[in-house]
Amino acid sequence: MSPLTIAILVVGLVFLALILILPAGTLQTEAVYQGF
Amino acid sequence: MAPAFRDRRDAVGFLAFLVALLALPLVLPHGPRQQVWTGVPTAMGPVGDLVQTLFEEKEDADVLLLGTSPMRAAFLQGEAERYFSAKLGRPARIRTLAMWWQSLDLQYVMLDEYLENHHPGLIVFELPAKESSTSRPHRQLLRWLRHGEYADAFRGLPQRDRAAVYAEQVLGGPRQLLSLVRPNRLGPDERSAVATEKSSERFRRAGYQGAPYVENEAHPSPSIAAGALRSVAAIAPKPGPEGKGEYLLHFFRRTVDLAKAKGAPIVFIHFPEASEAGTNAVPLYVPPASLGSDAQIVGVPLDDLLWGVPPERLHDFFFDTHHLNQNGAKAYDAAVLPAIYRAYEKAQRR
Repeated sequence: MSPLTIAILVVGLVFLALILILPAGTLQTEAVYQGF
Repeated sequence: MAPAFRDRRDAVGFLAFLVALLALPLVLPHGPRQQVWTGVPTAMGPVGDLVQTLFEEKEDADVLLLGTSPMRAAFLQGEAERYFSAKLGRPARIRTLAMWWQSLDLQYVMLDEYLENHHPGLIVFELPAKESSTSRPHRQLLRWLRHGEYADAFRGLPQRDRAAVYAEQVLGGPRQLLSLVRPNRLGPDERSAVATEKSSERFRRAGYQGAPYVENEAHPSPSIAAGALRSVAAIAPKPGPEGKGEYLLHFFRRTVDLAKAKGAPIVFIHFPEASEAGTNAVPLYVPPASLGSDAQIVGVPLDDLLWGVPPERLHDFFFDTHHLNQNGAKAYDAAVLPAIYRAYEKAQRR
């Protein structure tokens, strides 16, 4: 695996971890209300 | 299978995009706080009322109601102002800082910004409830807190909570960036009292959890006014599994300390929950010491509030387990407004 692929994997995993750690309801309220 | 990227340049571009999104909260410049609040969606509560109370209104409130949606549900529009105006013999100014969803980080920040330019005669602070409280960051924190703001207040919290706050800020980064490019504005329909009431409309003529609304005519409001202001010593704390978590307690204590540090008198308020039927005491779900030794609580046990109401009609007074509907609010306002006034009088005499 090239260093670039590893870097993408690591950053992607950080992203995933942040999504998983979001307080319950954050993504739900964003999706329901589209309060943009 | 086709490769994920056509060439190395695409892969580097994608990596750079991800890193930029992750780092956006760290590098975003901060515009004025008013812009942040104006960008809050109306789905989070009456944003026009919030911005006007925090930034546009220069006069001090006689009473500041600080809490979440049960606060908006429990007070019918204008009821507290009418009561106080009659008592004071002049137009009273009652203001509310209450947006949807629990988590006291929001109340702490709203109060801090209010006290920056105002000195309310009394703060009425909603106590964490049994059913509705969560000990995590506010679920819409991405809208109202940018990275680096209130860093002191968030210091010392568990790493998981601090990571969640950063995750919120990553999610909110593009929206905060857009605010810098194109300022948020309030429309005239968002500024009016009608808009403020409209945001609470869902609680008013609504039955329990979607049931049809049944106007209460059979049970007059109780006359237990004098009993509704209690000393914290007279309250039965509810420890154990219902006790609240570290994040919520942290901001509860900080909010109380903030009011005290700014010399603003504070009293606590409890809103009845449908699940409290059968109790004849005002419960307390935070440690009594966190309120301060001389704290006073405005509250009324549900069984006293709805005295004489048969158990099968109890739900006629609620929108859901932690929000009163119009029937409930009418009874509640009549019961607690004299107590809030008494607390206000005491605060003025200090």
